[in-house]
Amino acid sequence: MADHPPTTPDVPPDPASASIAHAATSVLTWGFRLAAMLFVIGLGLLVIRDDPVPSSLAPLPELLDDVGAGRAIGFLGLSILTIIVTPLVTAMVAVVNFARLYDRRYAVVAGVVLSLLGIAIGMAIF
Amino acid sequence: MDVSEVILLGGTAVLAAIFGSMLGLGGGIILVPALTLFFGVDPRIAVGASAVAVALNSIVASATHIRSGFTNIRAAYVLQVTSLLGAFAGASIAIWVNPRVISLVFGLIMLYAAITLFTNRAVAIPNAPPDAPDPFRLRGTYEDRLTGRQVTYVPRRVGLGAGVSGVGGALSGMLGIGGGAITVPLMNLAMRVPMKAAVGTSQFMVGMTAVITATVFYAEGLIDPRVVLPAMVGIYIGSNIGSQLTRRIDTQRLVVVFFVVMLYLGLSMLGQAFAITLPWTA
Repeated sequence: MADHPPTTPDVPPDPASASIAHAATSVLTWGFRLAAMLFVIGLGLLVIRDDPVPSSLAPLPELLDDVGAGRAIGFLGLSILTIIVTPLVTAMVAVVNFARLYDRRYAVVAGVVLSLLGIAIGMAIF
Repeated sequence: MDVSEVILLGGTAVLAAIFGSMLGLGGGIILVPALTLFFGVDPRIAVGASAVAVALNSIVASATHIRSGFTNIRAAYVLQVTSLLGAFAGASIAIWVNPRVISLVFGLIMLYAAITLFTNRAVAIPNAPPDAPDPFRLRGTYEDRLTGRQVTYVPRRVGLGAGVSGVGGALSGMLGIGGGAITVPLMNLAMRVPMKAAVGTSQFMVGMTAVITATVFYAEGLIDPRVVLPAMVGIYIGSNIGSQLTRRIDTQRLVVVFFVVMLYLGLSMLGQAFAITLPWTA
């Protein structure tokens, strides 16, 4: 018992944090589901069509062309990109939520994080 | 790469994730040397694959940690600013340097992680009083289900935390690892954040840091789907198995096994940097 910290029951949970946490959880969960769905479709096509898998992931426009043509790598590539983009969307939702709660300081901090992620992803994908 | 190689690679990722998860370090720290040493994968391709796998693992684990109240989202965003800048710098360096430099830095980090297995001890943080100063409004609260108590804390030394997070981000960007080996002890020991909150917050942060690494490597054509896809699946499966095992097995009893494996992998990576091949490596 001595290892446990003493309790201070008089500090209520922060409702603003709870709202932001809820939004972040939804984005992460749906990001994972979308990535998993694209992966399963891609894997299915790979088994059926026996498409070759390239040694380097193509840029987004090429991947979209591959999806249009029903090629496995298009779906598998989009699955990878969905994983990469999900934290960006999480940051976007955080900025909106902090702003909605009039928490300017953290709207700015999350905005800086969003900008850094956006610049990196924008440079890579386009 | 034929089907048997893909299965072997996926299996290696599963083992790497089980091991990394039980150590609380994430799968990347084992996956990168395993791909490089046993499959002959270019260290930069291994780093790119690991970054995507780390991002996936973070997405899945963070959803659980946030629901449990362990993730301090405000603290994560504060520390993330410098961590992302560091990751951008680290990843940019990694794509230009000789792959041997990556092996060298990785080897040193593995030896550091092996040594800290013996020396690092989590600090129990007493609850913060309601009137504790909190200039950055970073107070966190969660219920510890093990004890049924409400844990309240206020992170301290935020400036120091931001600085060290930048270094952690740089190493993460360069090596494709999550960076939990640096951020978790930092938050627990220096910022006085309870261990569960430190792990939850770090897990949320590493996903964003890994995204920077993955995108820089993607732009340079260093994301190889033949390596990334089995690594993703393997890390996902292995992390789930690892977290289950961690609840049932006292990992402290396995610390010597962990130490020997990490020492071997660390020395092998250092050997690769100096063109010395250790037994059982490619």
